[in-house]
Amino acid sequence: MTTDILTPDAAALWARDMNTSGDRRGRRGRPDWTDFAFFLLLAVGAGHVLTSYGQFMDYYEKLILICAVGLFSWLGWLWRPMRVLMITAGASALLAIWLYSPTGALLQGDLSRAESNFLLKYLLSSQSAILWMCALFVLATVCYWIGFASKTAAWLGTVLTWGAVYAGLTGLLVRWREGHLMGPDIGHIPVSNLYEVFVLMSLITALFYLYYERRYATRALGGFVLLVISSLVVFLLWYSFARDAYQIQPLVPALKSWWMKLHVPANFIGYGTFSLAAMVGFAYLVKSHGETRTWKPLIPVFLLGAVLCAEPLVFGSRELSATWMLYFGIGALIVGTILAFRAPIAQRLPSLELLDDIMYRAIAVGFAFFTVATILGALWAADAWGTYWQWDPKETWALIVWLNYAAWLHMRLMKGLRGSMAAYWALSGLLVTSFAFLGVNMFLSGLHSYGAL
Amino acid sequence: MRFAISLLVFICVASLIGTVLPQNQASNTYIDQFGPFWFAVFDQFSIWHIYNSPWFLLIMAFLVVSTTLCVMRNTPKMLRDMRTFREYVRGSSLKAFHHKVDVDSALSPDQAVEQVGALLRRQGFRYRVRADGDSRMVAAKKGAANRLGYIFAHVAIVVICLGGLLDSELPVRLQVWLFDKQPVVGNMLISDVPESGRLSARNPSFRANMLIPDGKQSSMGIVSSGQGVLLQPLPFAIRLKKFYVEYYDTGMPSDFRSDVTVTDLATGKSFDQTIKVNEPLRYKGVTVYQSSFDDGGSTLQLKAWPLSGTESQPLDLSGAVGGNARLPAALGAQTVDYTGLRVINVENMGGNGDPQPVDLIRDVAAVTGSAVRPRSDDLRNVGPSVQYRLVGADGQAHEFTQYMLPVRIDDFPMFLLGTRNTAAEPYRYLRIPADDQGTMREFMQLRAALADPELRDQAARRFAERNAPAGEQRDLMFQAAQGALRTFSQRGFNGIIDSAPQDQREKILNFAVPMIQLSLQELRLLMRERQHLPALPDSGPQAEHEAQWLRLSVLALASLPDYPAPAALQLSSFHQIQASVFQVARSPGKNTVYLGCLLLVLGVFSMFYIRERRVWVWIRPSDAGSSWLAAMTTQRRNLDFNHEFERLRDALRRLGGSHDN
Repeated sequence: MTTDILTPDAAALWARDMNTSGDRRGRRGRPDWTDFAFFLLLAVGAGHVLTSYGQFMDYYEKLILICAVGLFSWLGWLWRPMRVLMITAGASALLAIWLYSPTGALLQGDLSRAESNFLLKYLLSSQSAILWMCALFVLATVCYWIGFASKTAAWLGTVLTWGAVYAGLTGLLVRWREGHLMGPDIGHIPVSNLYEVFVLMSLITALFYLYYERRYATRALGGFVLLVISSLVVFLLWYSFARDAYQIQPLVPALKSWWMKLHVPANFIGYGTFSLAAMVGFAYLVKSHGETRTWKPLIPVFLLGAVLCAEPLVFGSRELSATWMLYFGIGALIVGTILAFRAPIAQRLPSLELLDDIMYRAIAVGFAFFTVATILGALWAADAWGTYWQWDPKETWALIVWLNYAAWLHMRLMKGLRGSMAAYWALSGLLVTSFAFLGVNMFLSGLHSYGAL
Repeated sequence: MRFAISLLVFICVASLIGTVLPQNQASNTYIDQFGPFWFAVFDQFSIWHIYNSPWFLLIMAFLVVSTTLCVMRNTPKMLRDMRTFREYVRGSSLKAFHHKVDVDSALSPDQAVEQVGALLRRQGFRYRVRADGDSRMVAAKKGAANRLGYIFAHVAIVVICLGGLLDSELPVRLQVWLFDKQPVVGNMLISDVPESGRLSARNPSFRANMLIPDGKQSSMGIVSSGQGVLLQPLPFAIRLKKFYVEYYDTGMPSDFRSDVTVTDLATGKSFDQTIKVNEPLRYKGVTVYQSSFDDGGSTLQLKAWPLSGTESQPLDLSGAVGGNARLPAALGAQTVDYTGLRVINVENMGGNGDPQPVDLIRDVAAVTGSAVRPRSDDLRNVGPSVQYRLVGADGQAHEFTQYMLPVRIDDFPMFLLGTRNTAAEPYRYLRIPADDQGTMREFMQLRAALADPELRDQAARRFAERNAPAGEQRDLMFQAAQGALRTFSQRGFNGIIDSAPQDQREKILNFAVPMIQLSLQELRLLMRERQHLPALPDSGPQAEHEAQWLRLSVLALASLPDYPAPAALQLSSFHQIQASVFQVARSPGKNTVYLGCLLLVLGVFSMFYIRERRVWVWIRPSDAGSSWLAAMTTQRRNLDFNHEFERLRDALRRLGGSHDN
């Protein structure tokens, strides 16, 4: 007789607390009544939307809504915490929508309520929520690093990261609504410009990190992954303050398509996981150098870290603004400090094999979604611009990123490449990824210039 | 595979170069950038058309061949491997496996086979049993589709490249070579283009542009080829009934669409359709996309105000966008090229100064709340503008832009006359204040009066009379004013200070500016008397307005010598004709590429998420019942595999009901 659930002595053979599902179940197994209840909840919600607002939606939008019900139910089965996240963020967004409509008729709304209503002004309106997300991410970074010395701090780091994800998701949902309140043709899913996708990328990276944190039962990587999320946050804040980029802009005609809902999120699953893998690679290198006494072997790591911190400087080199000089300085300092404390940090990091596994997993899922996203982009381009591939800079750089990670995966799967080499490669992959993400928009002109700085 | 990798690296680098260097631009852009020597060097490598250059295509071809060979070499092996259960593995060789377990059980071998088989089935394995005397070898496998993923993914790359090749420039180039076509360079009427400049109507793959003005019809696409273009006849004619563009408040286009009527040339049937940016028209294997829009030859009526000489009356001029006209002989008879008409110009009239440093708190408060923050922007549609090009007296071509209506700047309505030397520069504006009737007439009359020496002298005299006591002072003042006005009329304020030493300039300006201003005031009054215009009020808001007008006029007159045209053209009326620009394509490779994409997605996901496992259980009879030796293996070793093995091991142990030997 076999069982599908882990028996106690079998469980002891696993790494402590590790599980394949990333949540309390341990193993995913079949969907149970809670999964069906969640599916029902989503289905009822979608049904309500279709009946009350169906006349405003075109065929593709309805199709996407119906598929979204299936997708989110499946996501909820895949990882339980997603259900809680979706319900809380959804409820908060609904509250915000209701607060925006003074008369209670949800189709009308008054944007100036964001000034007068307390909840909207300080918590729920899109910018407030996104700023909370930024603050919480930065706090979480600090907590995770203190967490190397204190378990409570590490736990707090997890809580704050979840809080940030919740806040960010609420912010994006409310932003979607605010766009519609601005004018009849202006509302759109908030993934259309550089600002919005920065928020999206922070959320996706954080969610993947939280999943791996549960799955591999280690909080030691939080500090590392949240470093890259914090740099996204710094960029977001700079972009908001210096360039007023948070404002909702109406879509150019080329972007007015249901393709955007599919292509952009898939792309950012790719970028997010690649960044996560790079940071895990950095952690790998710290651990593998944990015992080294001399500075020389650390030089490549330090240089790579410094170059990554310098990237925004290079990008913003039109004016060497104070923000970016400071960023580079602090970044280099952080990398140096981490390397200086590599021994205690390395002790608390999980095994090299585990780190390697996380890197592989993240890159694999990122590569798969990046492939999907590039293909969706090509399909969309065929509909919008007349041809599916034009060697546009963004498209070409997407190809370069794809080839880079395809090579990494090839090396690993065919030649068994592991270890420091793979980690260095994953870390430098971040350079390529961030150029494809940001550099192309800033430096190279082309059809994709939706986010110029 | 190393060869393939070096090819891929090469492609990466080449693609990179192609993104950094703008592709497919006119040669002069590159010559400007690199100089003639390096341009010639780079040209050898076709860096401007890198993605279609022969060596790039050759590398891609090598890649396709190499991948095909790799797939062909590995596929038979893989397919065989997928299907086989490897039940002929010998029991003893299982001992060499790393992941193995020994179990003793009370079950008989046949019972064991059943139970183990059931366990494996529950775990998703398929198995085969081989009897070897009294022993049984259970050989199981699952996740064989993983190999299929590899095959799919690599076949997909080949398929995508082949499909892409079909849709590239190659077919057109092939036709140019095979059928001896000559791309047309320069302007020509469509009917004049010879057979060598036209592609066949049965061309299976092309990408062409069509510009159709409102109300016109066309059935010919323009395919760019080499340095020129080729004509591509289409199987249907498109008539643009009307092109619509809608704008947001910010002046950005929100939507464009073309209402077209499509007529099948073979059958004569026609139908109507609307083509929008994300909704192309598909008919007879040809797809028509809304690409952009342009001016379709709007007709313009302009007034040419002379900027030199004593004549102030404007001359009438007419033309159409995209065409040209000659200035009247009195103004120099130069050719004016009308390059554009913009009916809507939404400009930001809000404060354009540098952002002032604010405290952080205010900044944070400023970015909280909803993302709809009323900016300090003041976006207004300031009306139509016309763009044209003229060759100035210095022999250089200048571009001009003129807003039809006066724009309120600093609370005074002004006509903006913009000029620039090249498209890379921003426009510099000459601002002419609008008079009481809202026209440039009074200014132009003032200018003409300034150019008339007799009127200048009279104005200088009156100035001297008003501001100096009779006698020598008055004479001196008259002479000073006369000289200043003369210099000013020719070269503005710069003329006055140019000849003076550096340290004296400010002093001279302090003296000269009010003098000129007052003299011009006199000139204006003089001019108004001559024209029998009503007198200007002495005090009150109107007087203040007039004084402001004069101040602005002085500034404009000072800048006038820098305006590089003999006349200022003002748009008096226009009739807008828009044109819709379509991209028309026949892409035979599209479905192939889509198939390749599907294969790629299936392949990639299969390779990562379908886990291939093999399990062997060698069951041999023993004293207690049976003794099992189980081993598990996989192509891809990772943490998951270890845990799966551990689970299997525990399950087998539980099944056996006994512990490790």
